[in-house]
Amino acid sequence: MSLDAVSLEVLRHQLSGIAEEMGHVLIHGAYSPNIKERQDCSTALFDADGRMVAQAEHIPVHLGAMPEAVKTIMDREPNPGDAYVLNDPFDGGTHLPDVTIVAPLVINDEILGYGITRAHHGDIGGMTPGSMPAGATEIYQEGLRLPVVKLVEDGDIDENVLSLVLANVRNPDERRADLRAQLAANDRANKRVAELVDTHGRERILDAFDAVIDYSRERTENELETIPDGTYEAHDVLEGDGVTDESIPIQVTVTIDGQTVEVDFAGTAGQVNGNMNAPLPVAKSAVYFVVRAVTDPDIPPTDGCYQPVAVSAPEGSLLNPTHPSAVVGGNVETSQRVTDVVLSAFAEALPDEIPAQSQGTMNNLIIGGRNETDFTYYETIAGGFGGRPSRDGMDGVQVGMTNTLNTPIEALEAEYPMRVEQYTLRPDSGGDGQYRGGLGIVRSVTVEDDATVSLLTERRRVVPAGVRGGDDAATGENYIGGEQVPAKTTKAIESGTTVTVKTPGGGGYGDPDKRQSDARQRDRLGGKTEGK
Amino acid sequence: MVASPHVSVDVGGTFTDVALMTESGLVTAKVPSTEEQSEGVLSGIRKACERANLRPEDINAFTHAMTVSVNALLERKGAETALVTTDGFRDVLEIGRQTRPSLYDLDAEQTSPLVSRRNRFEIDERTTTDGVENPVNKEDVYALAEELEDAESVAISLLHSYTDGENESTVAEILRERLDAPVSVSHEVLSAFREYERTSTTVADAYVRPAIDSYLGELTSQAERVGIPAPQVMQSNGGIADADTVRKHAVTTVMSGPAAGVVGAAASAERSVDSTAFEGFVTFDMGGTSSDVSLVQDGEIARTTNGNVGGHPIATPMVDVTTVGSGGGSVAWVDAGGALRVGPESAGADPGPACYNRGGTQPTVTDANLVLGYIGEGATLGGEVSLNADAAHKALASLAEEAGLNSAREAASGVYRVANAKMTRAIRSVTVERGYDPREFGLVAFGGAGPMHATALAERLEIDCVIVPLAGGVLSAYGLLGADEQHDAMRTYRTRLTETRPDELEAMYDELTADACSELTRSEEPTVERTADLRYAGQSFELEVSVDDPISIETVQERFGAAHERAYGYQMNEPVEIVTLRVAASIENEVPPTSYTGGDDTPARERSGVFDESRQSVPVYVRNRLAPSSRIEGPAVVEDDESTIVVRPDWTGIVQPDGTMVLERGEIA
Repeated sequence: MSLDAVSLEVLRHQLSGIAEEMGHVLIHGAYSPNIKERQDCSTALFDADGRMVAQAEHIPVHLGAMPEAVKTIMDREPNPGDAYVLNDPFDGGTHLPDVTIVAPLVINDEILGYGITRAHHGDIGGMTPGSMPAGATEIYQEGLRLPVVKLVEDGDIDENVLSLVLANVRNPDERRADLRAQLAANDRANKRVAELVDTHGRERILDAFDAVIDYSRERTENELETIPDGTYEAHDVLEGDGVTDESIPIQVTVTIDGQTVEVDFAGTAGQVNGNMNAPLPVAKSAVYFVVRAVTDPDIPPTDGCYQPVAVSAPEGSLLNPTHPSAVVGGNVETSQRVTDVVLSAFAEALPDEIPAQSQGTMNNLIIGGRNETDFTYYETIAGGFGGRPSRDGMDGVQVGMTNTLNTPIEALEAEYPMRVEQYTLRPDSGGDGQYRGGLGIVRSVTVEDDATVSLLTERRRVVPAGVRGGDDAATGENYIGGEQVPAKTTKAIESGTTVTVKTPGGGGYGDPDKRQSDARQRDRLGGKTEGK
Repeated sequence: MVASPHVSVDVGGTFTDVALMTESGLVTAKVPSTEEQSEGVLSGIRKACERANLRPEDINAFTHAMTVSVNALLERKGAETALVTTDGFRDVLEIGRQTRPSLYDLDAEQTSPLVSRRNRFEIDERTTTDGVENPVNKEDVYALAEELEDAESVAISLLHSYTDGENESTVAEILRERLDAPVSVSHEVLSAFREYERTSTTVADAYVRPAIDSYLGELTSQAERVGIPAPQVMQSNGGIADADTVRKHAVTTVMSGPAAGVVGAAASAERSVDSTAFEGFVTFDMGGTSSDVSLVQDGEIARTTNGNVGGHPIATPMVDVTTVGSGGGSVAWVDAGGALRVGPESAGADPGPACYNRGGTQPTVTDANLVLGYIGEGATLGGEVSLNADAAHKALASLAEEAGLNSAREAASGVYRVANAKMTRAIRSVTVERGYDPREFGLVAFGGAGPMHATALAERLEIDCVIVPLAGGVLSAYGLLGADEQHDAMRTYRTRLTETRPDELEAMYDELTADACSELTRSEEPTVERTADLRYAGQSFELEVSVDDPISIETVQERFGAAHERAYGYQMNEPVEIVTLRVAASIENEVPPTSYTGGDDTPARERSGVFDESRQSVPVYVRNRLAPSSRIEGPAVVEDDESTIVVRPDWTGIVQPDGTMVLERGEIA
């Protein structure tokens, strides 16, 4: 290590403070509900070799995909004052709504690293409002694809590029404001890193970059070493690709060998016609999420966390698809299933540490106006967290790859022609067990205008499983106008139609007979269980 | 000006501090806090009166900061509360914003709501953004009243009540008539949109209300018995209000204690330096387990409406305090990656730091300060234990070994630097993230450990002026003496700035002003401050800007643009939206000047301390012996009863007429 124990800790605080400040600027400035309310965005600092040195933690799904984006910009040999924009899932992106801006950190005319901001914009064009069409079969249907494009040159926004982007999206004012907020966050990174270099000197900051990476790597390696060596397998399925309902298998083999882990998805289905394909960086994000959860969440997220982790998936498979497959569901739903399956494999090695399965879906609900009120509403709905080795699963929370906030009902009803009818916990939806699985949610919305509804959901057929004798959870259910509809649905509705989503619970942990009677009584009195 | 003699009492976790201002000057007293807080309050007042040779019945004013409500919240010892919500929404309180508490910790615990599901009741009604659509059926409320018979308090929070509170009022009227329990109504507690935050605030109000009510009732009658006026209570917003008002707005007291501290620190700073030379002050209170950082500008404490106490959002205005888990008792350790860490674990008071010699062996920040010579061996830090340097040395030597450092001294320097880095980050987040440059601020340091770290923090932040008030322990009580009486009124009013009419806004401000002023108890002309929370139409976070009387839409627009530029680095040519209108009505109160004597500016002794990376002999002064305008050149250490001021090289401390020490860096006149 090139820094002593004290300087390491001091500089680590300073670097992650910068990433957090970038996030603050972005979230406060943005217009998209996805960014400002749900915080579906990430900010990070990279060194000149494209290694992550600090990240603000808002959402895990961007973890593995940021390095690819920085690499694509490095290949372009950027100049000071430039900023690049991209969203191409086949070249540094995740799915099209996630728009990334990378700008070099320039100090005294030298590029010391990169600042990166990635945010899920409210709309990026394509066949449906919100750019998450359930039935897409090619990426061209999903929206505007941006390869690495220079958006800012020598400090000035290229109005040609900007107008091209804005002409291809549904809410251009919102896009412009979101991009502006991203650029402000990138600027903030530049300013703060320059101040750091001013205080500590160039050499010391470069040493700090190395040191924080080594530090995270060492701690991750030490943690991996405590997991029993071996090869662990798990299998699960997705419930259709939006074109057909056919189950899509995901297979994983996790090999722990001393201080390293290899995660291989051989045996997983080939890429599908619909939009459930997940580019490899998305699968990597899901794996990194699990590695962080099973090692020590206190380890700061840098490139070092991921150096001991190798991830592979066959080319042309669901988790490493080729152009021009549709991918928008991969980021939000396939990533959740990958998380489940990798956690299940780790549970083979660490049976006393891994919870039962959580709801395993984001319950994406997208509603877009078809009349003069041209609105786009997007929300993900929480559900049950799996029962845990020493406590019940959480009721009504976001799980796995997301932790976005809801849109307040009073904000939603003020901004959209919609009425929320119900927002409650869903009794009996968690699996019984020594430690009960968390409850799902019922959210019911009446749309007061003609609209198009897209539901992109999972766990409507295959239950979130209990473990070690715990019961499985209830599956989710979707209703449009009182009629039950499939997990992935796009449908035109008339004004006055009610859409109801009942989200899955979490599986139970351990034998239900071992559940303490006071816990059972508390559940019954509190209306969390009704049947038993 | 408040009548004299004036007593103020601040109840803390360990001590109850009293400041008594009479015509002949300030008298302070300190007594142990008691389980029933009013007992300690009264015994403290008696003690101060004895010292001042005054009878309690001569006291003409009584101000008070306490921890009754925050304790009820944090220890979950509030009332058995029932919640009434709109049909279909009883779980809003529990679902919250539907996030889990930690991204990666699969075993994280969720904060459970203050009202369990079985005590949450739904009622058939609906209000929309346009007003009441489905009125409440009174028969339903009569039936509900029967179900609520056992509740100790009731919170009512119906959807969109901030636009029209009629349905809430109907329910409240009947429940108040039929039940003995106090009823908190959301549009009265917080007339703001966002149902979860409003419900959480209203529930917290109902939850702490019986405790506040009985405490203030008891204290008032005890005070009456000895002839003292009823207490005026410090609210979370930094202003005081009379006991009867506070009993009706219990949730406004959850930050009573911290607000008093910040107000006291601000008052001390304003008195000691020319505040116009600064953008504002950063207050820094470092105690045993944590440090609190806050901002003061133009004599006003920074306030937030995004507060959170014990995991429960509270959106009524409160002092904006950022807390970091490093204090004097924070434990230093080496983690699996070889980094030297400080906290969050704390050795607490028992066993306490290794140097307490009470069985603690883990090195703490206090141990490091002792090894560095910033605290003297044998110092008592407020009274109880005498510090043992050998024990501290031993603990840091073993830390050094683990961390691969050469000596206990090096480890101690490391602990000091890491603790400072954490606190610097907190100070940066309250300044730079809001668009302020810390270099333009003064740093006010207090608390048992604050003055030991202040000059080092100031150097990191390039702050050139540090202010250390006298009587750190009774600073809050002292602050209470001069606190303004203040009441807030607010209302959500969402509209485009360019589409609103000035007369419409004026009418609303008039209403809010009347509302805020109606609660003032003194007859002087109040100062009325009008502000609005604005954002670009499309954003979710507002910036508060001041609004002139009469209103000028252009000025408001310009101020918002400037505030946005400062906070985020840019402004846009996009429509701006008003979200909330606010009025604060206050009656100012002068802090009485204190006299201070002392006459000796020679060092009491010399001690070896670590400065500029090397151990050297430095002078040690006794603070309460120093005469006004004494100059202390660093490196030096100034000891007082509860803390020590570390004067680093290149700093000069000057004693002010009231005993406050102002430290300045570099060449000074």
